[in-house]
Amino acid sequence: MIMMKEIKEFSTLDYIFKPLDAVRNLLEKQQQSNLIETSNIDEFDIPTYFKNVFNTTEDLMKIPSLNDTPIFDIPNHSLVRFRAMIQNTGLGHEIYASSYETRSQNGQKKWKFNKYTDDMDMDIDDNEILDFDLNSESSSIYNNNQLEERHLYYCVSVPGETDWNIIYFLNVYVYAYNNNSRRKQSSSSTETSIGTSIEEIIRSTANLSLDNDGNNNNNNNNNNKTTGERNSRLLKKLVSKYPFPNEHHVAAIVKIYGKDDDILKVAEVVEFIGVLIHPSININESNNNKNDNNNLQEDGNEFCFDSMTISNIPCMHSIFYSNNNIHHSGNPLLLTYYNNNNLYEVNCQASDTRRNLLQYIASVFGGDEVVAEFVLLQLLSRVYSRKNGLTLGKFTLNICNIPYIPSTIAITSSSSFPPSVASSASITSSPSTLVHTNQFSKNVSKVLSSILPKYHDLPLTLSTLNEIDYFPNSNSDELDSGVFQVSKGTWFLIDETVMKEGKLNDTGVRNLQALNNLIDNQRLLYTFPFYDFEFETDIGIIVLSEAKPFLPVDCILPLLTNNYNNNNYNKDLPEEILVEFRKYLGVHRYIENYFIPDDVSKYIENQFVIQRRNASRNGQIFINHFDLQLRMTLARLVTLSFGESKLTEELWDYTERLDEQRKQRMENFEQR
Amino acid sequence: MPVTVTYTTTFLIMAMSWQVKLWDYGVVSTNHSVDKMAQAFQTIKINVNYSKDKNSIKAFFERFEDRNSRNGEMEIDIENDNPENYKYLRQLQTISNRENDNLVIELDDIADWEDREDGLLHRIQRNVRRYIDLFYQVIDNKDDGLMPKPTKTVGIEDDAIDVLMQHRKDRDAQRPEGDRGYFPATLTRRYTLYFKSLKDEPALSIRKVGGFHVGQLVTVQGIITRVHDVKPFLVVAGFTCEMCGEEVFQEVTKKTYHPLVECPSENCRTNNVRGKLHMQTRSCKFIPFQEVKMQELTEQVPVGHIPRSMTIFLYGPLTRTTNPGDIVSISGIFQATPHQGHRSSNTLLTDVYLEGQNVRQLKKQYDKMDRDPIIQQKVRDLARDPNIYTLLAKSIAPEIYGHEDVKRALLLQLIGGVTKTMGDGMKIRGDLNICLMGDPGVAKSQLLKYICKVAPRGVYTTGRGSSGVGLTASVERDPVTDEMILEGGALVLADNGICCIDEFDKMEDGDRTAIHEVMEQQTISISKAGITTTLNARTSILAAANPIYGRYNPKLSPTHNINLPAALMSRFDILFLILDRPNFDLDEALANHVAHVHRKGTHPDMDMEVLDVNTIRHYIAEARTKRPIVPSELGEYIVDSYVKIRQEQANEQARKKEHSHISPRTILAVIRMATALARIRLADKVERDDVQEALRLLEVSKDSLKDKSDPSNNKSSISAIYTIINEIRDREDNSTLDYNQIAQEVTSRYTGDQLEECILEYEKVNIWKRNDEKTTLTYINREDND
Repeated sequence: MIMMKEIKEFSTLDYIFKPLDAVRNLLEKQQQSNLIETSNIDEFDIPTYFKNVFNTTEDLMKIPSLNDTPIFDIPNHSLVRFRAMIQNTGLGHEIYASSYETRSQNGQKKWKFNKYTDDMDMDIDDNEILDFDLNSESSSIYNNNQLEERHLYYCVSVPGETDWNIIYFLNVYVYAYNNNSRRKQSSSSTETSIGTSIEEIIRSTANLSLDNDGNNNNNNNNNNKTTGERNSRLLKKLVSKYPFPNEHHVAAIVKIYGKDDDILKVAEVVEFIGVLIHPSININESNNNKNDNNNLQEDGNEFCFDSMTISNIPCMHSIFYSNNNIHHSGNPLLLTYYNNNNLYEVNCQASDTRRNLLQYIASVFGGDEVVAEFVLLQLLSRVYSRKNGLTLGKFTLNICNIPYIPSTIAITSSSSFPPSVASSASITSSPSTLVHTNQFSKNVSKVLSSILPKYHDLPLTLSTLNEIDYFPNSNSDELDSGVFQVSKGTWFLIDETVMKEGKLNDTGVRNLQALNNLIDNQRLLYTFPFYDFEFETDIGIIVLSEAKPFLPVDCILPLLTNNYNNNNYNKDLPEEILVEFRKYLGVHRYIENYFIPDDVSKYIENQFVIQRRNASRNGQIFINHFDLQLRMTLARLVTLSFGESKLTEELWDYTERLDEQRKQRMENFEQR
Repeated sequence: MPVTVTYTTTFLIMAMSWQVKLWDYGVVSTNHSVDKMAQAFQTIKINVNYSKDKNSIKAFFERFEDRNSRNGEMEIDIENDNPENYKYLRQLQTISNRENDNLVIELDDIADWEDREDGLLHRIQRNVRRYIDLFYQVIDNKDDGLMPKPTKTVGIEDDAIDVLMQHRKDRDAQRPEGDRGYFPATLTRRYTLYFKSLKDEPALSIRKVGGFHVGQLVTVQGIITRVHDVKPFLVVAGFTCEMCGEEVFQEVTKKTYHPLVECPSENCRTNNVRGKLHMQTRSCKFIPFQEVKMQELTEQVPVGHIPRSMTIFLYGPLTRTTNPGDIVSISGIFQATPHQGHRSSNTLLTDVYLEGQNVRQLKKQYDKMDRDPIIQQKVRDLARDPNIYTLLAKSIAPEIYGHEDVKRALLLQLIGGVTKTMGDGMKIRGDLNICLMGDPGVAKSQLLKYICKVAPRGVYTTGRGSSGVGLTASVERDPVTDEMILEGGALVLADNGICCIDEFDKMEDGDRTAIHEVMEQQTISISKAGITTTLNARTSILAAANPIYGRYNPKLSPTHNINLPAALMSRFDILFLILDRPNFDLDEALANHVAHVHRKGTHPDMDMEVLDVNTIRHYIAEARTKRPIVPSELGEYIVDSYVKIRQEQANEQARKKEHSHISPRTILAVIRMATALARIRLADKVERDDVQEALRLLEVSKDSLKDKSDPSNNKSSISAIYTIINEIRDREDNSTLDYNQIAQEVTSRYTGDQLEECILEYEKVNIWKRNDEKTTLTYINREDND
């Protein structure tokens, strides 16, 4: 007799904290009611079922997120969310048995379900034995149905997410949690987390391993050294898999089920919902003996994927995932925005917001409106078409004539420092961290990170160039990340003012090549031992430099220094206004239906021909087709910035005036 | 020769844990929860009659004749059962004679031998491990084994195992029949049996191999990224009992095993002593073992993904057959062992690897591109297109508008001529060198970068900083402009590729002279610190230079505008001058092009579909395999043309209007371009049209220097022709002139193009008019003119 278990109704919370039980129960229920063939277990669509359970955002938000909850605050085998960027899809697959049969002593057979977990079902009674019978009546002897594969992806928390972005997600989560008083323990732990700094909430997995090291090291002396070494090796490995060195992040191996694994690509941002498996804490105890005996073998196996790495970082069995546009843009405000469908509202306020935003940006550039305008246009740019080697929409902006202000000196006066003084000033912070040292860049960075969803500093010093990998590379099996392995829609503020004369080593030259390739084509090469793989990127880049930049930027604009005034910098804008800005940027960047009417196109062509003829007559330098291309790009951005999708003659003239101002400045700057 | 006994103490295999093996599925499981599993595994009943299969295997060995012998010798003596006729018996004989140590069973032969669906072949493919064992059993069977007696004496090659065997035999003879211990066949086996997969079996990519394939024979293709040292792998462990002296053997079939501790012999058991066993390295059998890592090839990885890799185990003779960087297809048994990681305590997870059965090298070198059949087909289709030349040229840098002849020349450079090596070791270079000169902002750099991208080994560098060879460089501050400059060479010379040098004019003179040698002799001579050597630098050079004062100055002569020594100029096969000057039609077309690109996000429809970079690359690779020859009758034509060009040059010199020097190098350039053109057609012979096109390109490049460079010059040629025509008119005193006569007189000094240009120019201003057949030229309103 089958023990007829009471099939109870599962609540959402049960699904969160006992997802596997829920699934098993569900399957048993199915079996009993339909007597479905157990070998057809896969026909039961678990992802869809879960999607239905969590079909509202609110329900979804009840699931704890790895991004903001320390991992050990979430019970093992419970459902978690993880907003992550895929770092590596090359880990291959695991072969596992999706189901197996047990047989109790009285010959009673029972099917066990083995998906979404690394461990076998815990409740095998002693009097049950496994019956891994591949020869059941229905299947032929060659049928390996129960052996299935799941794909392993290495994922890290989204690199470069700005503070407001993280806080936004956090707030939503807390909101959902507080609504629900039943999980006191968890909610209290998150509350304390909120009390402390964000820094701590985003506790990195790397830290975690360090802690373990401390906790478990007191086994015996013999192992101390090896485990210490192992842990530091592990730590190194973890660190090398995040684009920005020495920065906190969360990492997890996500195991994906199903055949259609080609959908998810490297550097994509995905929100996974799945079953969490804690990293094995007691590595040392359980495996010391094995390891000792195994030392020789392990040495022999140096090429095998280090299973240690896998077992020491959290693992997640993805049940379903979402990789919609919101995650691409990385702007969480659009999440609610698209739901409410208030495009009209934002569009109406576009010109108002535009003006305020320009002011806000200008404040950090000493009130230089033209620079602010170009920066705004840059922030709206994205690669919108790629065909036959064309990369349309990329727009790398350089602002030159930037003063160097050492951050150690308190800024009291409004005068700018002449470059010669600046370059001799010492840089205090440690050389190979990616944080700006020029106070000017710092201010710009503050403004940018307050309005962009994903942003990171990139001071271009010899030491960062020579020491940090900018491009992902693989020497053996593993893929180490590089600074530019970030998701689409991430911005970098490159500061050339801190560059000094000196030698570049091999890494440095390769890094510069990667940077040039990125600026030229928005493509990034991942290097492998025998060949390279090219990946498409969409990374926003603004370069600050003293003189003309040595990076191949699309557009150079000198800053007018005479009116540089630090006091103008408006440090604290109310949050609502910033939210407005963020929405504005998020929405306008993604206006899809931009078009140029035929008459405007004709107008542009005529203008171009006339201008060249006039310039030829007056003996001026005439504009060439690069200028035209730049203006076409600018015109699109100008149009978008006004919340329009159609280019008009007025907008074109506006663009030309803007570009003329830039050219004028360039001439003055070069003659200087 | 198999390594049977080694005295190394490195045991790859260490006692670790309990092992239960499941032959039939290649699944091997380990440790405690598994003993439950093990019981389950052992219950497997497979509805295959192995003994029947054994019989058919035996029949196969004894009866299979390979096709060659069947066809050839059938009629001679059909009845003779000469083992020489049977492919595998023959192989076994060589093994027995110790001339060979692996037996490769080709599945194709089995397929030939039996025609049934789902028969033996099918079962072998699905269950390789088991069948390898069955094959061994059939061959090594004690009573009716297939291994023939050696036909030669092999005594000289006696090795340790022979000695041991003799010893065993002697001892066994002294003992009673039933007392003989278990003596694994593996120990005395002197060969390894491999299956070779079917010829038409498709090679899978690593990501396509999944759980379904466990235990099956699969063929995977990829690039070897790492090769492990070859280590001895223990196959049979030999032990001696310290109590009774009994020799005990244990077969090891997996990476881990548990050594025997207690003596199982009759002697010890009856005496009820627990004899301790000691391993005897001398009586163990080891085979070479190598672990290899294979990674997916570029074209096997879906866009946006990271390549995957797979571990491959190679045993015996297969070791040392691969090197890192080799592209190979390996067939083998896809096997799974339970995860050995730290979470393995209670899991049904497996690590997978491929046990190699056959290694096939696909490419010796990597720079030969791997061509998949789809692209191959596409290339073949393209070759049939008569317009292929134009199509390819247009597909070069499609984002750059116009410059069609420049693009044609660049295409020829990518393809290159044929490099010939003379009997005395002298080499005639086939690589084309091109120099683009022109105003800033005419997309020279874009063209260079594009070429770099297409060329299999393209190096892009700017003249201003290419100081040497190497990967080190430095950043320096320009003392005048305060700009940061990348100084030093990120330049590794592109041997067998294209080296694109931007800002060629800004290069240091010393560095430029070094390029002279590269361009003509294709070598670099180094003589420094007592070392004198010559390095290969078989590279084409694509240089871009600006006129001496940044912009082209129409008031100066071309030679003054171009700041390059004549010695260098003559080394370029073609030199183009691209100027940026306002021209209503061109400007409008260009603006139209740019606007279209930005409106539609794609290039305007050209007459034909543009080829993507990958296709171009494959086409070029295909074209480069051809070595077209110049037929002797064409030689005359080339000589004539050359003489004519020299004559023109002499004329120009006489008029002091020389723009480019025509040297004997020019004739080589023409031949190179013509061979490249023949290569585009994938032809083996250069044709007259090829030479004509090459001459035309040369002409165009000269014109770009001559006419457009200097508007006055350009006008003068037109007006000069106009004067000539006027002279003819006055002479003939007729307002309608015979076109042929004009052409005859004009083309003695000017080209047909120039004449055409002149006629069109004056047609526009209604001076004259041609009739539709283009045979006569009629002056309009002659009265007004007079």
